[in-house]
Amino acid sequence: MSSTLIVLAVICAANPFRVAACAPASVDTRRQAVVVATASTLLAVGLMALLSDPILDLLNVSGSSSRIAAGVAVLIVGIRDLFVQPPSPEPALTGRLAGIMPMAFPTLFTPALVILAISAASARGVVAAFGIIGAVILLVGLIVAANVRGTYWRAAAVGSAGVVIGTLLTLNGVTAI
Amino acid sequence: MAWILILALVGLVVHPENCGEPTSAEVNDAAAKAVSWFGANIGDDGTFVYRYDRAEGEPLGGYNDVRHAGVLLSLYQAESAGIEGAAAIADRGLAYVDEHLQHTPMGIAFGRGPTVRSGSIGLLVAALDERRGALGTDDRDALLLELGRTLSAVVEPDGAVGASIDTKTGSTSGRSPFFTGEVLWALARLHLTFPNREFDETALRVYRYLIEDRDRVESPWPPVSDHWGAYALETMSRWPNADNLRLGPDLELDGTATSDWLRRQLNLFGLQVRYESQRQGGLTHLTRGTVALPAGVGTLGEGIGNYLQFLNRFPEVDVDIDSLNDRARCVAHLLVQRQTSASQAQAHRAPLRLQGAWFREDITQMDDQQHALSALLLLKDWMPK
Repeated sequence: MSSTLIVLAVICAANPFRVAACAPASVDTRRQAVVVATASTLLAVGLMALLSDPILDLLNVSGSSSRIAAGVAVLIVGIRDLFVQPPSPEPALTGRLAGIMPMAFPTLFTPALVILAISAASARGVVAAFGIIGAVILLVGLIVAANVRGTYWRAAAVGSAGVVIGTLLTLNGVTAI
Repeated sequence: MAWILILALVGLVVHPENCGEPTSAEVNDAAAKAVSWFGANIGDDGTFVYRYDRAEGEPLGGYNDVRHAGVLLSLYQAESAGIEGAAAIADRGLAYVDEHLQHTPMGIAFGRGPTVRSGSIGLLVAALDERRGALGTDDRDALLLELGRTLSAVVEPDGAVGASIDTKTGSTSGRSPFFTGEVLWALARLHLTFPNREFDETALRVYRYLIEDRDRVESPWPPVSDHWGAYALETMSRWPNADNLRLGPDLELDGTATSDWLRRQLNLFGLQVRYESQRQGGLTHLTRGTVALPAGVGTLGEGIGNYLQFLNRFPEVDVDIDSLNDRARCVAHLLVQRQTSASQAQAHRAPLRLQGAWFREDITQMDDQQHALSALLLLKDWMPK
């Protein structure tokens, strides 16, 4: 599981244009919400990466097969992003708490991101995996904070990439030892 | 809702793997039980019970000379590994071999009927060579060399191996997904035992064909996880001139892409072990099908066991050795877990037909025991004490 594949898969799993679509309209509130969303997602991803081995042991799933799981999850999220409109800012918690709901959950912190964090930590080690995924999450946060518009077409473009990257990641798991 | 849907779909694709970590003693014990099965199921003519249906309580008949040679091989491997009495059983099986040696225009061959298969000769060579080492005897050396000459003759100029030999005309025909590796391994062993007889030249020709051309020319589908090729590579890496051949750390044989072959093979073995370990009955019967033939599971262990030995010799080769060790433990666990125990066998009217055997859908075949036994012997040293 190369770093490039992880980076691309995380971008697709945490589609920045879907996150942007449900971010608050006000610039100040939006930036505060992005900080909250990014921080809470980083915390959750770090926890998943830290617990990757116990989780895989509990589920009796090998690291190689977890790559297939991550690939399938990214693929499904990609298909969803292709066909389902990005979420709207409502309903949401008010103010910066919109960073928790709906930005972090359920938009940024997707099942695909959870499985990716577990699988990447198993393949590359907790520190490396968290470093790579964390950097991409920060990048996603910067994109959203830059007030980009979360249009359907932009989100769908990332979704179509997710279909390709998810397939590649699945094949990576299939052809692993 | 989206979470539940996505996790459910992922769960349909990836199942829990039934993998444990048997100890070396447990694995050795399972191997000894398999040897006992052969001891209890050999006839006066040197043949073994070929196929048995435990539901009907009846042998199903038939016989296969390639598999007979394979069984002898596994028994001599057991003797080499310290399971006493295994060679004595195999020596009784040699009576059948002696009865069915034929003189052909290609040289001496083993098998019945107007056509014999090169695979039976290849595995007989491997068995006799293993016997030579296990018992420290050279009483069959003349036969070994004659069989080796026959094998050299079935190899075509491009390294392809003829599958069948017409005993009247000596012409060869057909290809087999497994005989290429079997013949290669036999020739590789012969070069180790008789280094001045030039078996290496023919072996290298077959080797090059196997890893460069075989899949393209013969197009086996699904791709073959070639446990015989794994035996061959492991043996060739012990040749005195292995370093000169660059069979070692850099994995190049005169520019041949050994590393590509090795990685493709490891991926195939790994994937198949993971898949097999997900077959746990219940719902997985619908998504993964019924368990594989025990012989098939055994070949996975044989392939992985040989590659572990090879990689142990060349630790600098860059492969995911941790995962390979996991797959080794997993396949050993599957074999130990699926073997028929004494208590399970006691409920049957002919317990000795069952005890120590592996069944799939109530049927066992002697090569189920053969491959499982060889696999357990190869894997036991990689298990925790």
